[in-house]
Amino acid sequence: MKTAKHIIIFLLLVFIGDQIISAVMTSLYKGLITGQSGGKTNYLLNNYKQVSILAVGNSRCAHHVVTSELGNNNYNLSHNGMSLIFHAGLINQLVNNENLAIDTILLNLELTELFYPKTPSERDIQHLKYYYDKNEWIKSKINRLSYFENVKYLFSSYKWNGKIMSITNNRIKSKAHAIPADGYVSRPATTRDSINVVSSINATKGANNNALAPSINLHKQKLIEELNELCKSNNITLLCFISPILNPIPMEGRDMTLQKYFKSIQVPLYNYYDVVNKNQELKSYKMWSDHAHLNHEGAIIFTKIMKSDLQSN
Amino acid sequence: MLFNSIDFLIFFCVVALLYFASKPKHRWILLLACSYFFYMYWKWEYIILIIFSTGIDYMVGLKMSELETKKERLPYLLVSLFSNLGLLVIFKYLDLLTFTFNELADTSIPLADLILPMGISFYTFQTLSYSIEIYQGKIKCERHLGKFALYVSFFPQLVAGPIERASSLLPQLKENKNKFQYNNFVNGLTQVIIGFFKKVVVADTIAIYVDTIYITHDSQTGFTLLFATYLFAIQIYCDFSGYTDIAIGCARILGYDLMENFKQPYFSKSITEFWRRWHISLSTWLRDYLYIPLGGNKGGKTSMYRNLIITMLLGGLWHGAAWNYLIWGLLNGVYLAIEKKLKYHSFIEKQSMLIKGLSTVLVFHLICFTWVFFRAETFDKAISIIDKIFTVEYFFNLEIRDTSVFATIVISTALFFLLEVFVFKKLNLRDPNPEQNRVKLIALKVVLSLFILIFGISEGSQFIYFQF
Repeated sequence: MKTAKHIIIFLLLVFIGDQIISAVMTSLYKGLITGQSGGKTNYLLNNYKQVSILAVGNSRCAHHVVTSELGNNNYNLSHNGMSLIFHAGLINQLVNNENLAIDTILLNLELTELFYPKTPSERDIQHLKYYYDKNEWIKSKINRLSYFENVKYLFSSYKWNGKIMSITNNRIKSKAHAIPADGYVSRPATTRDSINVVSSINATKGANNNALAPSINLHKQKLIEELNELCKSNNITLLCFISPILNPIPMEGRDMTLQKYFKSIQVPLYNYYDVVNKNQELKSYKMWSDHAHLNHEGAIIFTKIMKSDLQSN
Repeated sequence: MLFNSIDFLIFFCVVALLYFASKPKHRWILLLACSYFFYMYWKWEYIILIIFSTGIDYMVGLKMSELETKKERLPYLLVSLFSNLGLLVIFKYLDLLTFTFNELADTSIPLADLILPMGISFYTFQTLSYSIEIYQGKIKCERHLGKFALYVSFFPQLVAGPIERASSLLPQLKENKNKFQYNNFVNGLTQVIIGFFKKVVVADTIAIYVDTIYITHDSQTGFTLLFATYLFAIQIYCDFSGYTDIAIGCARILGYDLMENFKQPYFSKSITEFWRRWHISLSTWLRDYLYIPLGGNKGGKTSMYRNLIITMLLGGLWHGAAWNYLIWGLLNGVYLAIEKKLKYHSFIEKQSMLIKGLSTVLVFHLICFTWVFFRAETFDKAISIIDKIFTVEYFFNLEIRDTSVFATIVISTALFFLLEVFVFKKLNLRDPNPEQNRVKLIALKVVLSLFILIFGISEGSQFIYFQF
């Protein structure tokens, strides 16, 4: 009896604490308009009813696609360091659960991710765990992470696990600092850029073709196809692109594999991975802040190239 | 199976319910089956090694118990030593030996590249202690194979200790008449939650920072590397003592008493005291079965210093087949030998609180110096890190990286420090009557559980000591 009483009091207090934390975090989250912990998404939903082009991807989309250069009413909803499953989950949430009309989705894909030779971990979907109860697709992907993953969500504050500090920090920042209206995050050119580029190229010297598979990862194919289906059924045009890199490894037939695959699923792919081999301006170290990220000057040039390609197709 | 997983929580709840629902005479069967399942959940093939080690020491124990003198028992002890240490050599040290041989003899014998069986150093040392104690005539052999097998594989302490002595654990496993007790449940649950807090909130959050800084050590400043080393000291303590807390707590809920493995080691005033408070089950094992048989402090001062250094050197090697572990052990051995020479431990005990405090800071820094070798994967890397820490021109500036992770580290470490100083120190988790502290215990559990929920790293990272 004593034990039962002890357990009940303990669980009851944990439950009350859990509910309080969850309520406080939900309220903080709603006021976020900056940062990767939901702020960028909130900003989009608070300020747009309709977007013409929604650019989605990782930091190589966030800093490369100057959405305002592509035309009016575009938004760059990229999240640094996130893989395809995160972007697919976010798009799914926006299309299915939010009041936002989207004409075109411009999805950034990573070559290293597409040709990843092993089963990907897909843990990035956890960064969308605050949509767990709201989005079945996200819920199903999270539940697949481990056999008892759903048990963790019996506690509502778990949805905020790992995000408390960033949400609090971004909530404070939200009062003073707003995201640029088109979501693009510029990296202004600095005098240190060339030094950073050289050191980051040196740091990636070990990378080679052997780390990549010759064919597209089946898990990634499935995600792209699911996304394509979602877009088709909601009359959204899906366009994919691969961002440029300063020191591309040889494609060795992978370009053909990509074109063949994307043609088969009827999704246009714009592959700029090794565009530096064709464009002298982008080859200059002055256009980069490191080997994988263009600075603002580089981003403007790249976006113009992309705009011209989009218009000609 | 990892302790820090939902799988384990469900597993343990089922085991505890079945345990108290089953008849006492059948409990060993349940615990043995569950312990084997627990181990096989990771890699089922390697259960053969535990069965092999169990079989050898069971037979050796039976044989030795029939013999009168140590001389007669010695060949059987050697069988146990060769078998258990042989397993360790094959699975843990073979590649290091092959690599060193290749380097010295300019040959290119391929490395075996075997997967290291989880916890092999722990269960082989536990079975070895059984055989050694029978050889020494301290204990009698266990005739019940099943109960002996349970002693070797008891799941709470199977993969990372504490390394239990047969004289302490076997009688408890043989009895198996534990009734469900309120005090065991309350104390055990509290210790389990403390363990989870240390592991998933403190250690795993710190790991994010430390791993990044140590990987990119070339581009870091001395201050950042020093800071990361301080954090690693906290990380490894919380990781390992967190595991031990979960192990002791789970065993206590079932009614078993495992030995304490840590007694707030970073509050030690000397290295000697540190080793009496850090990984106690290993340090006492090394003292009893290595340092004393080597001669201990009986053969004069020089041989005592030599014995200390050899013991710590082998203690370092126990952790892993790499030169940096050897250097880590050697440094600790040298520290202990210097302390003995200076009679520092008895000297510091007589000093004022201020001097004792300063000594604690000094000891912490000496231990942190050894952690650099422990954490850096190679000797060259360790030297490069130390060089940066001690070079003024590379020293200043602190790399924070992710501000959210850094803020979480600051908050969780500060909370941990406050709890360590003001709560854990005074908390008696063997209290037979926890009812008098009921409010305090519930409050502690609730606060820590909420921290685990919102700050805990839930991806089930390995405990550092699982690799040993």
